[in-house]
Amino acid sequence: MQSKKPGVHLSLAMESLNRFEGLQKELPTDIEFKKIGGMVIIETDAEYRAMEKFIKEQQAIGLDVRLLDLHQALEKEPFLSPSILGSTFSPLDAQVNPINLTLGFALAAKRNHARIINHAEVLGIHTKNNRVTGVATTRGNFDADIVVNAAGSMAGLISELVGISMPVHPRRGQIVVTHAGKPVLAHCLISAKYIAAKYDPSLADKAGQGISMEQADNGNLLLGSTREFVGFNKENTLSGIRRIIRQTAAVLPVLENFQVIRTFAGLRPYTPDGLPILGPVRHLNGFFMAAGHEGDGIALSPVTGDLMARMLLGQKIHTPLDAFSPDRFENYGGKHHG
Amino acid sequence: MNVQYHVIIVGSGIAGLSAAATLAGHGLDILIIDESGHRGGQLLRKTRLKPSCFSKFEPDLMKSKGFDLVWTINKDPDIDWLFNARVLGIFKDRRLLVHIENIKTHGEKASEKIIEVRAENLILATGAREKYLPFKGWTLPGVMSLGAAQILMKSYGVLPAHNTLIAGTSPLMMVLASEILGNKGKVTALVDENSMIKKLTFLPLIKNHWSKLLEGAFYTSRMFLNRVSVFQGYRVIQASGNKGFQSAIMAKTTPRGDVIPGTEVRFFSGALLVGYGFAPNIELPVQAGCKLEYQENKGGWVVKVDETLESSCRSVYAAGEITGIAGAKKSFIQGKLAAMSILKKVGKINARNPKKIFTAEIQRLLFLNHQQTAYSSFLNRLCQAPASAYAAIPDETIICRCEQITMGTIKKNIQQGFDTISSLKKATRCGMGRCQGRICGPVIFDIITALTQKKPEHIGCSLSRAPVKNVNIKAFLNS
Repeated sequence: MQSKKPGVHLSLAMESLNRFEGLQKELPTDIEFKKIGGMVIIETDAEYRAMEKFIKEQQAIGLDVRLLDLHQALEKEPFLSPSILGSTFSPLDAQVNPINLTLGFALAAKRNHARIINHAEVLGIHTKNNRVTGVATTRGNFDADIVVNAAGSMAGLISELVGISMPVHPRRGQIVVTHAGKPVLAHCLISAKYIAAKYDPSLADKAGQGISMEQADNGNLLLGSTREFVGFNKENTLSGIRRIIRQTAAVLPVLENFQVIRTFAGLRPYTPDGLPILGPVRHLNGFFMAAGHEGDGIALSPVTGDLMARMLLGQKIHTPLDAFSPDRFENYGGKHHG
Repeated sequence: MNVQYHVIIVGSGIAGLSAAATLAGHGLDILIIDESGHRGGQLLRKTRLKPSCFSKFEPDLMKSKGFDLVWTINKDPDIDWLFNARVLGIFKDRRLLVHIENIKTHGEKASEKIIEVRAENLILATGAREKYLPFKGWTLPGVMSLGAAQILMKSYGVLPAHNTLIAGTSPLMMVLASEILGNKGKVTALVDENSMIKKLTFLPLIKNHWSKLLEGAFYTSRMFLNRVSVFQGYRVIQASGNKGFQSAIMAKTTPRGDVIPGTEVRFFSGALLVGYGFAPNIELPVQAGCKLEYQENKGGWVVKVDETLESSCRSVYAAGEITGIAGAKKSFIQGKLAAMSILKKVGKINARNPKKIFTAEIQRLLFLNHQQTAYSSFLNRLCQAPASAYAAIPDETIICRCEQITMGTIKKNIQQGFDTISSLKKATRCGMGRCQGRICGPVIFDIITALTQKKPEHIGCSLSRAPVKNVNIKAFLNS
């Protein structure tokens, strides 16, 4: 929660959080959802001042969050380095197993008679009279009145197929995974630099890219991450891995006793204003966007699915959605579709 | 130690040594990296440097060849060795991330660290590891692979047990039995999955490899002379014991590979050694960006190479078992061939190396390399357990040892449509543990094949990322 921008973004995240508890029961997989609470680690005076301001805004819209000094922070996470200045804490930050969640959604969709076609590359989107009529894939053509572009970091490419330019770009994140060890972290941790990097790419270069750490249910520590614009390249880099390890070990010295078992990298769907693009595209009837969540895709998945379903069914929505509308990226041109 | 070398060779087994010896004396900076503390890989592990008189009768001629190679390499001052060092990953432009264990520098306490070296040309000779056919109780202490037992005996002089039962499909079974007998141990029985008839049908494939036939005859006669009971066409279906292995049940199989009920026999023994052939160590080539191909006759997923042994990745060459399992001789030939391709590329064909002779030598090696295809096919078809054996693994049997995932879970998920290596991994966590699927990966591939009959390219193989093996975070912080 704490990593979300105060405002509509945070309200959306809060709504999503409420839905997760139900999902734990509703989905056929164990999504390992836990409200473990989260901390933003503060290492410098400048960060302290920035976070003070940031949490005031968060508190103003009712988020349960507070500042902790070094002593209080160490009480919550005894393995943190005593060289930090302090942290913030919110009991609302939660953890979920993203693989099981995705599987859970897929299996639940299947149970409700959704067909999932795997290994199908989208070749084109059929349109007629300024309306979508279907999708052409390497596994055949599928007729449809509505097409939702939920292609993640590739959503920009899918929009291009119908001549609509959507500014969704891949932003690489590298992760280092340790062996499953004894519990050393009770909360999800991010650094104050992480928040800066997330919302102001120019800051990311100066202040480093920020780190995130959490310990999964079975004991593996996930150490992250980088935020890089390198196209669709999903490779790990030496410098990326080294930086993550150095910076996380500086905050959590006990990492010295852990082993790295794997690294991996993924692509986040970046948008220029850090907000997802949700809703109908004005110039092509039946074409909807549900993409661009950057690193919040998992956290916002329940509310995104819910909102999209309501939109597609033409139901009433109480959440104000203008900030997420595809309309805000006006440069997508209005090309006429025959 | 430099930070950059003309050639870096990963693996100092027979392929790596033969490559280095060929490159020696040409004024190239060469680095050989090996994760063990000795040269020569499994073949030369703790073998006496000066072969005794008796070893002359050792049927494996490659060993003495291996020592000759080491001799040649040591004469070249431009060749650096890096032992107890593990290549963790290969990054862009052939940059290697290498973990070095406890180097003692002058006056400093030994500590592990991580270094980076760059190769203008890279020869990957990473060898192979053993494959398994899981059965009930295969995770019990006392059940081990043939290779593990061999290391026990060679490196530590310890027998697996007083009485040892040996089972599987691999020709290495007889070698092991012979080594146990040579060390005054006892072999309870040798249980060979392959029936005599099946073996005879593969025999034409090695008609040009008389030395291999002699080797086989040598070991067979040794079994006979020592009155080892040999069961052919039998499979171990269960290992049991309190705390550790005590007994195994084996049963006769049909030519198709199904167990015939009612033929079960129980054996009591101190240890059980199993071997079902080998799988190439393709993790580093995959990281380097080399394309793979699936070849049943070569032992599964192997690195795709052209005639010069260059992979799909420029200046990255593959030699030895990773281009197809075929034993030491092929590794010896390929190491040489890869090295000569590099010599040719960097223009080292000169007065000392007249082009005509050079070209003739390459032609000869290509011919020899091709000759090994038939033996490779023999070896891998002999070792591959039948698909029905993988399909019949009981539900409660553990497949992924690190994450304790059972056959039942794997089967259920395959039926639900998670029928590729990567989707099954995400659905069940198989291959996500400490060994990162090095043990269960090939097994799971065979299980998916057996249950779905899908094509290898649709099942895929697991994606490898650095580090190839676990590494202490401390090592990163020390460097």
